[in-house]
Amino acid sequence: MKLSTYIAKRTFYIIFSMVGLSILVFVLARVLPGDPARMAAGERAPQWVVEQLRTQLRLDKPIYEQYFYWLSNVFHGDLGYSVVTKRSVSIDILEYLPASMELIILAATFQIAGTLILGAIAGQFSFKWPDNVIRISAYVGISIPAFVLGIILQLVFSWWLGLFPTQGVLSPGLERPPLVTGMTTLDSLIAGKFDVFLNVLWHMILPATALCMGCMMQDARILRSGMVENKDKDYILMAKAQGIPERRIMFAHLFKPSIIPAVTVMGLDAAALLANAFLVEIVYYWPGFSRFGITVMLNKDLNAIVALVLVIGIIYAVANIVVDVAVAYLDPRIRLLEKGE
Amino acid sequence: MSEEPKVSRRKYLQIAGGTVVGLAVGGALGYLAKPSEVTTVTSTLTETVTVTGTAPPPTTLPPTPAKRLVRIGNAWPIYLDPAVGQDFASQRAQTNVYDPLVWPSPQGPVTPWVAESWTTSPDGLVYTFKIKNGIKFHSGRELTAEDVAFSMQRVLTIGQGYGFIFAPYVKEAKALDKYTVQFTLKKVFGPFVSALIRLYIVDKEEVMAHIKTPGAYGEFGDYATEWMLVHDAGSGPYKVKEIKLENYVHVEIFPDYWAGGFSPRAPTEAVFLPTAPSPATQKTMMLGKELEVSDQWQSEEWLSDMDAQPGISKKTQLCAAEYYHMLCCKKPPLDDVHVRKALAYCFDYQTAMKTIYSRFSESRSSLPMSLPGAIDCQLYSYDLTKAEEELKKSKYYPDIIDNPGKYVMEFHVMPEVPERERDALLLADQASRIGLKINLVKTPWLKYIEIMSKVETAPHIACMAISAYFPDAAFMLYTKYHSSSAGHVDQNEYLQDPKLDAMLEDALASLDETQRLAKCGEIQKYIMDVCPTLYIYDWNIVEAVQDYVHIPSFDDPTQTIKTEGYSVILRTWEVGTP
Repeated sequence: MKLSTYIAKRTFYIIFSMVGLSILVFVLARVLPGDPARMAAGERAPQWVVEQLRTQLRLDKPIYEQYFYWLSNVFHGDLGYSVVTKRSVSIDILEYLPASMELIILAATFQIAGTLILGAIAGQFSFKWPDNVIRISAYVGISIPAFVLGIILQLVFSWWLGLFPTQGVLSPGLERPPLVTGMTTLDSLIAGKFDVFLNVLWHMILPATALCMGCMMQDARILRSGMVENKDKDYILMAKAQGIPERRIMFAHLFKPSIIPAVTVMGLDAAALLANAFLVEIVYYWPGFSRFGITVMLNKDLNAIVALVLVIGIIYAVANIVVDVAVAYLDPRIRLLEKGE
Repeated sequence: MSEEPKVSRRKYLQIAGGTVVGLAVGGALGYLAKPSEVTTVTSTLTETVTVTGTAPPPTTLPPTPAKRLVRIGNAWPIYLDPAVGQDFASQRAQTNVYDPLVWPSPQGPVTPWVAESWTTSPDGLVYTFKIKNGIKFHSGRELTAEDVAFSMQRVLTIGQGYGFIFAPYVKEAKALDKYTVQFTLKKVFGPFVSALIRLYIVDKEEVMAHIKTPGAYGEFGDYATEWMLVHDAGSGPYKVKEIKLENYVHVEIFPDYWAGGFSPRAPTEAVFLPTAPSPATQKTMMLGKELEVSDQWQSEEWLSDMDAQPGISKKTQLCAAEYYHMLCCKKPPLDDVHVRKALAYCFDYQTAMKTIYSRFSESRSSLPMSLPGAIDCQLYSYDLTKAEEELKKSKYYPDIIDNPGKYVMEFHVMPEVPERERDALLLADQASRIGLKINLVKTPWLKYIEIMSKVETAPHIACMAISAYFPDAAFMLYTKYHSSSAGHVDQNEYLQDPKLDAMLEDALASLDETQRLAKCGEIQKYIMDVCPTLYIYDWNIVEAVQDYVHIPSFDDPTQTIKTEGYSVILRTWEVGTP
């Protein structure tokens, strides 16, 4: 199957998955306790205001009618009204999602770089002291929850050492760049404000580190295991016997097949960063999508909850496709198998 | 054949080390990119500014004021729009961005503010206000009577925010001329003028220029509710610089503020953090001087810990708010007054104050003692003997002792406020000693509102802290105990007592304040006798404050305005060097 056909097919399946997911979340959100119309109006608002809002939000209609009305609006790019922010959910997503994405991109970069470096070192020096240090660090990194690590990093690097800021996006005194993409880093580069770019990056380092540490350590271990497993395979021994340099063996013959399982997990972990980011965003007061998600869930903001789950679902689905393509690139057997079909 | 050198451990360590160095360099570069610290004026804080109801002559700001930024922990949501937001977090920002017609004073009565003077018709149904000339909105336009009338109309139409205060009473608001506005009431409302501290005046032209049509309000579209989420249409001492919803509300000084009254080192900018960071983050921010004032929702332990840190102090100011255990009087066995009184005698008030709520003061009435009109009429103290005596008088005795399983009471507590579980446990423990069984149920806030809205689902006992919306004892009692409030979060009691309703309506209809407060005294005694509620503590605002920030209302009780939101009057603050 050609790559383009494969991607088209998977995209088609995504649409069906998202429809199913939206129905599930739509119904679940509505059976949870709480009256969204009352939440929107305020606790002291008279009943007529609550009923007016209920009618406005179509909460007085049967659930299937509510769903079809919502679905038809989605096709017009309208994800509904948020009772928390009191504006369109689409605007909320455009505002909060880029902030989370830039944090996640940095965390994913750290994750991938850390996985490759640590996994390669551990694999190359398996059962020696670098491997032992990395393995112990991995256990610690995996077992400490991201938000606990976030607080520890805050205390050590922000408070004691004063090297990084405690929270937020920008230091006081710096102006935000004009809004283009919503990502402050990109927008500052577009506006030519390099000092703002560096400042935001500086603010992102600790939360990104806290976010990626668990996944990075886990993926490094998987890479390490792959390398250890493949190290003693015949083709490696043959390569050594032929006098191929160690470095070339490592990167050309050992690394690629060993990384395939890690790539699969890395892709899913990177997608999971968005869903896992909420506590880190709370600790670091990062104005992101995940923290917004917690607020809307606690306030039973129905439209925002559905939109939140859909966005995360789409990101997972796209990450799956990317991982599949990456694995196909790395493993020629998969490409040959497909050609043989 | 030449060989490539073997890749050594040293090489790999170099790569790893290089990565770490790269990160450190990135951090250092970012550190260097940090802007210079905001400059502040260093001085000893000896001056204080007294805020009175009369507008002081405009104070000239220093020609080139240094930037003085304060960051204030708050809560979510902050809806700056005075027709939408009415909770504590919103009030703090509203009082600095908008102006009302009248201003509450530390002593209690309101004083003229935007209004210069007013008259009341003999029947108490028509109020005519003369407003001051020359008051400028942030847009540069002059504030006129038309804006005042529009603001009231907007509040009444939208119905959210403080609409619940005015909607039952206000029939019409109209501008008689450029500086005269008249309110016509449907029925007599004694504290109407006091209530006007919650009518924040918006710029009509600015609002109308930003309405979105079609909207829920006909020709007025959405009444600019969407625009006012992130903008302001006020005339207050501070104006909105930037709002990022759910993230912060950033205000800056309005140099043309008509009333002046800025202290020499008033903040030039303030950031309200709507979603207060977690306790750990707040602590780190306070220690790192990235936060000047914490929020007031932290535990006793957190506040004491901050107080022990150099350069940070725990500050307290009175607030007209009280914490209650609300007993549902329609649910057996609490439908019997003797069972309710037994519970009131069961609660160990002193232990609760000493071990859980040492930062607050014990309640003495159904009203907080800081509210004018509150009288000390507490009848109940911890006394298990009296509790047993009361229980024996109830219609459920002796069955309630012989079959406690038949009379299990549910005490619903919100997990969002962990301290409250402790006092609930205290009550349950003491009640068990006289044979009453109370089960604790953790109920999140959303569900709390839902279950309290109907008597069938209302918990036997619910706990809530309630504050006065404006400084009037009668209105606070009314919103707490009148039948019309049953089902709102203010009232889980479902008292629905016709005699009490009549007393409350009569008090509210009293134009003379002295008479009204005297009636409130009688009402408090009556309520205490009926015992629908356990009165636990009078709420104080307790926050951690940096020592370089001087807040007069914390340090001088004679300057404390006890109405929520009016405790944060930024222009009176003084900010020194961190």
